[in-house]
Amino acid sequence: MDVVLPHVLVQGLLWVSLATVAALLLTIAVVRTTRTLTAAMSARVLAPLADDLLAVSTGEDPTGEAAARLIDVPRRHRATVERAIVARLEFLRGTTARALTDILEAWGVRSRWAERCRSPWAQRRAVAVSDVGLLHDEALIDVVIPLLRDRSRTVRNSAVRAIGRLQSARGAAMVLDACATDSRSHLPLWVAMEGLAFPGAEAAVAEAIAHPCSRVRTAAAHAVTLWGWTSTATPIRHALTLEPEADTRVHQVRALGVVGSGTDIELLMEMSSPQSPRGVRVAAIGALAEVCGDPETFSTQLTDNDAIVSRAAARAYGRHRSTPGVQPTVPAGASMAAIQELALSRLRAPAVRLPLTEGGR
Amino acid sequence: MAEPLRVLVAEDDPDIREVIAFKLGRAGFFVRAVADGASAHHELFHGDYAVAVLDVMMPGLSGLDVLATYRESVPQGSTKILLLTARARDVDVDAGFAAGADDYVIKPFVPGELVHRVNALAGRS
Repeated sequence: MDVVLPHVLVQGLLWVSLATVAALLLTIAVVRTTRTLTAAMSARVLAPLADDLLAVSTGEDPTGEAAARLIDVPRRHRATVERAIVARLEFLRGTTARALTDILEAWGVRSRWAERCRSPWAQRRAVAVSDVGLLHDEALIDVVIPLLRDRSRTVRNSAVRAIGRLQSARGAAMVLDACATDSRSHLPLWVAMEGLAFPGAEAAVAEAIAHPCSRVRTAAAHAVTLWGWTSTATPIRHALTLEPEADTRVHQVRALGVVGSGTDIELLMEMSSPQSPRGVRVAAIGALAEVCGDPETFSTQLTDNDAIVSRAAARAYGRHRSTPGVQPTVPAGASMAAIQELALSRLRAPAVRLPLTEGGR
Repeated sequence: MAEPLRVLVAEDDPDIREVIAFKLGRAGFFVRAVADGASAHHELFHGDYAVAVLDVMMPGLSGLDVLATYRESVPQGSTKILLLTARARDVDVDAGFAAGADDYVIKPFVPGELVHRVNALAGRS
């Protein structure tokens, strides 16, 4: 049955749509104008201070006169200069970063930022905790740790980044704990890595390799893969033999590929066997390519019926083919997928022009 | 008096670019600073630089892209290349060296240390 909307209703909807578009355009215009005015005001405040800011940021202020002038900036301009300093602290470290944080400390930002970490507004908490991290003072870790369990994901992510900047071993352990599935709003792995990217996190990661929660074990193994802490090789090796979760085993195998050695070939061969899940097998082949220099290691997997496994073996084999002195051969029975992958890898690396000799086809 | 050595700085963040250019300028280099990979590519091929400081993550052409193209096109090119990267991962560092980088500096960095690295690459004591 055809439904004909009354003329008045159509007209009403049109007016509502027009009003919505007008409101949207007005909002955009107001935001843009505000942003332009704020940028212009900041530029006006910062222009006479540019040389001093640059001198302190580059360590070209031996007498401390530039820093003193920045400290003496009128109170009404401090918020603008504070953001400019924070922007520089994002990419500076060492004595120059220290000189900049000294200016902030002279303004009493420490207690103000710590207070803002308890703000009812999530955005304010996120900015504050990120700023606290830039002070590079481990004593502030107790301000940051509670925010790992914040109800806002943005705040939790900022807290992880702050722990990475504060380089706190205790904070690293808390980041790993916050990856556990039983914790409220657990951290994604890629976020957690930012809180573990410093040498002091190594001990916490080594301990977390045997954590009761598989997600924490996965995070620990992933951190080992990224940062290559060789002291974790033994716990990773041990955990791999006991690991019930396939996904965690994938990460542990990858980690062993980074921190393992020739003595791990047997274990990795076992992981690459058809008894393991496909993901583990592929990871094990990749790990074998890292710890083992013999391309013949992959001859069995090159003939595997699983195309994904034989392609992974071909990629690993192809890497060793390019090693000077290693004579490339494709073993008899290599799968079509493996042969295709080898041909592709040859195309991807035009500098390597070794002939591809076929043993069985 | 000898001409100052020329250094190319390619970095999309204006604050970082300003800090590096200022510090290298104070160290006695002639500095040309650009904000993107395409400009860096053009400068590398048309300017006579002793050292190029390339940010890895730039819009359009990345520092790695610029480096790889330069090394492939001008294998005899004498410009030393230092990569500036926020990613302190071995794979990125490996990729940089594989593409022909001479050195790398990880952000956050110390400006003085960067100058030492550039001095070393330029063969200045």
